Amino acid sequence: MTLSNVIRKVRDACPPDCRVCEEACAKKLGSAGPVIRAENVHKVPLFKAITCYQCSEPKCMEACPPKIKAISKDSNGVVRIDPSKCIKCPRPPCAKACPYGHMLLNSEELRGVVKCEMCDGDPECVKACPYGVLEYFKGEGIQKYLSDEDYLVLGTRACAGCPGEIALRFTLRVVGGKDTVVFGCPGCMTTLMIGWGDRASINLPYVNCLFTNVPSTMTGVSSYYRHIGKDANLVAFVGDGCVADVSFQMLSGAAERGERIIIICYDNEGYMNTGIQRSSTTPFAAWTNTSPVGGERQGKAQNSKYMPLIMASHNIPYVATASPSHLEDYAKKLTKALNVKDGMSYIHLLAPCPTGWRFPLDKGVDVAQAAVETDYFPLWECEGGEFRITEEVKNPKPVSEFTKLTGRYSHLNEDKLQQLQKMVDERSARIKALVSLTSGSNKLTVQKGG
Amino acid sequence: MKVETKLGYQTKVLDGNRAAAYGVMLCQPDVICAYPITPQSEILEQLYLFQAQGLLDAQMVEVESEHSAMGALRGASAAGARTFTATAAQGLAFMFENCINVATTRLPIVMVNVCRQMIAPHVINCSHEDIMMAKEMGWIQIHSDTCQEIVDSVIMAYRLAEDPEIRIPVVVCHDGYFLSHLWEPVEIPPVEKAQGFLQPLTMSPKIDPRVSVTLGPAVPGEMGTKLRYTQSVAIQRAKEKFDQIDEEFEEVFGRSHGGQLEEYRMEDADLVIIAMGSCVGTAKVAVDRKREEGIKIGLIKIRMFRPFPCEKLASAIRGRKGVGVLDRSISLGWGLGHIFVELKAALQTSNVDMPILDFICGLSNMDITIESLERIIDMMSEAVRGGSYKEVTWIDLE
Amino acid sequence: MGITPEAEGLWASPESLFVLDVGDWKYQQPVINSSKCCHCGICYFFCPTGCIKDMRTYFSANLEYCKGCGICAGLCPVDAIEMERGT
Repeated sequence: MTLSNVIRKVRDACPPDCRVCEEACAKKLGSAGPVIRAENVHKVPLFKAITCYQCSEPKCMEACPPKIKAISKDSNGVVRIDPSKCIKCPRPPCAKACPYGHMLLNSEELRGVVKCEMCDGDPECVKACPYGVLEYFKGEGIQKYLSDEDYLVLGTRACAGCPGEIALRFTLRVVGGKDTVVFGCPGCMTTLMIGWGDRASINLPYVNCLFTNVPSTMTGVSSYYRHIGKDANLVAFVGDGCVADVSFQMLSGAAERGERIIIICYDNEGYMNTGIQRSSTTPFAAWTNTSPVGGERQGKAQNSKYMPLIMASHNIPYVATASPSHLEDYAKKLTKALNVKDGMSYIHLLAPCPTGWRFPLDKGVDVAQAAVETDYFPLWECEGGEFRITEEVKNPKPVSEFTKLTGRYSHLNEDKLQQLQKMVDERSARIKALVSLTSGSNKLTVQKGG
Repeated sequence: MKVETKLGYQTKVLDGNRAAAYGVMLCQPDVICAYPITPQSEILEQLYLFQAQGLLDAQMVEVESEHSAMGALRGASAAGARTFTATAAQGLAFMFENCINVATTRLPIVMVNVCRQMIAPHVINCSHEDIMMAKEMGWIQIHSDTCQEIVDSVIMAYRLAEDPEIRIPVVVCHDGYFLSHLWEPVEIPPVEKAQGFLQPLTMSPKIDPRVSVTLGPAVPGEMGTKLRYTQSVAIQRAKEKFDQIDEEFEEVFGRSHGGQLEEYRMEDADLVIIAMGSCVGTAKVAVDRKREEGIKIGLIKIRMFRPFPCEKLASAIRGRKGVGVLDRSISLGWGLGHIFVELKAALQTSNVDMPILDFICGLSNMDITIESLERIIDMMSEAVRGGSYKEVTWIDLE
Repeated sequence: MGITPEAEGLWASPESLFVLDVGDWKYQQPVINSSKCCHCGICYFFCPTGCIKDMRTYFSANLEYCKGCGICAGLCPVDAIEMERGT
């Protein structure tokens, strides 16, 4: 499957009256340009393309007279004007045909057109933006990690719009078919994988466990496979209830022993499968059914346990955080985890929950994006004892930009918001300090399996 | 994978724990995960010594708790490994949910439990309390009363658990301190001989990275019910199977321990003592003494407690005059010992009309002495003569 | 591999898959403008149910398994997807 690339807006961080993208484009195209318009960039919400849509059935291409046929769609999906064929009409039919106004009259020659052709794969606007607003999204970058087969059945029990399901389906396509055995335990995502009767719901080896014995079951399988010289990837996709609470002891024990297993924790910040109750990863002041809002109680009293750093403190070979809004980043991290052969890998994945956090069904990815943008959920990894930030957020937005998207925080007053902001800032500073502390030759010693 | 030794038969003086470890070494498991707890720790230590000496080629995993020990065995066994663990009391209670899970998943795991009282009070004393708490976890349960029997029972346990018609985990029990720390001469057969008595273990289905199966799906009600039924039928098969295995064991190794039950001086017995565990040896001495006084008394040693040997017990008791049950645990809520309650239930459909007396003894590290056994037998004689008697007597408090 | 009678209930096989009928969950459904679609793959990657199919030059939703969440419409960079009420 060949995919086209697209320039899209991934951050709402444009300062007013900024025209850097326009200027960079104009510089590239000469005085004919620019083909990107700053006020369009400022106005559109996240994930919208700012420039030519590179349509699959371009109206401009249809409009160009058949004898001329100067417009074509190349193998990368870019709609191009062939300058050797274009006769530079004074009243270009292609510009008239474009419904979106992305075919612009050449303002210098006053005949012919200019359009965005994405600078042959290296867009100037994206490079020039100092605020990281624009992204050159290359589906290829994600596609190459995925198997052709979707290992999870299409019809599952997940709520509509569940980012956990996005992540699970994606994870199985990255790790599946590589001598991988998948492990799960009671929780939201298990209900998707667990099957019914003699019928499975996942076309991979899958071991359903108790809430309490995922890390230990994996330890047993891993030990036996080591004994008989069998190479296999053991991957658990389990919730925060299992990892941070009920199975915390078992997880810590397995990490200390250096078991060769991969634990992916999908963190929806609560016991969602049992009906939205608070867990130790539920954040400060969040509403749940067991940290209600009313009278004396204003959501959860305690701050959350920061699992990824706790796991990193076990000095295991690989720890990372990931978000379903950043799939390529996640795929790279999964691949690194698969390559660890002598100890545990742990990936902590944020999984916003429409039902438990109270937001509309179509906003799951946006909420995850906001979590990253506000530094509430920074994306980092600790590989071989060296910490690094994998998605740099220059000028993180205030955490209110994240909390305002979810109903579980609708009761937040200024005081609680400030407390939450402080916790977010402290967490972020801690990670950054670890990045400085462990760079290059200062990386920490890693705990390997015995 | 298999360890070859040039050692033939050996006679060693071992305590119960080390005897258990020898039994395990002879069976050469692939994966051993255990957590130390008094009075079991020596089993683990001896196994590590075997590994260091090159006598045991197993993955030894130092898990961080008993819960993880059984969890790890679940994974290893479902992937095709022969496995082993050992525990006692609090450890057994901690791993309880995993024990039920592996029995209901039909995994052929073998465990040794060193019988110990549960806390409170905070003591580590001997009683059958822990294994009686765990009797409903769906495991086959075997008790030993000599160190030799422990070695032999471990070998028979693997043979029983791994039998294709059984595939149920087996717990081999011996009393804390009274047997675990008692030194006796034990004959250890060669490894090859023990290996020959067992079949290589094949699991199907199993956890395999190349085979897409799901272990542990959700099931509709009818399938879940059928699963319990199948399991119930399978564990009942273990009774006859265990007797057969004991007979075969005698052919190969020259020793029999009786199968489900061992009967001692029962041919013409009027009075019967029923006992289980380490007190059997002492009870046999008391039986001999009373026989010298002319009392026609015999002893039934319960070797297999789960599945409960109803038929054999009923037929052994039929036609006698009186029964005394030695219970090393109390069933709270019944006010009676566990073996007594189960025996009464087993005799329900038999025409048994004779005094059956329950004696609660040996809890909390109390010795079951010959003197107290003689008092017990006197009380049984009195009951049989028509005198008054109590259904249950706490012999150590009188 | 077939599951033997003894293993039934303990092991399950994907030879016969258990798939839920979720097509009637939705109160809205995606309508994809195939000529506008630029074939970037964003809807395909982010659809939770995996029901977006590749049609070589554009993408299309399999309405039998679509739950109508609207994530595809929200993320589409070229506004080629609209959610219409009704199923």
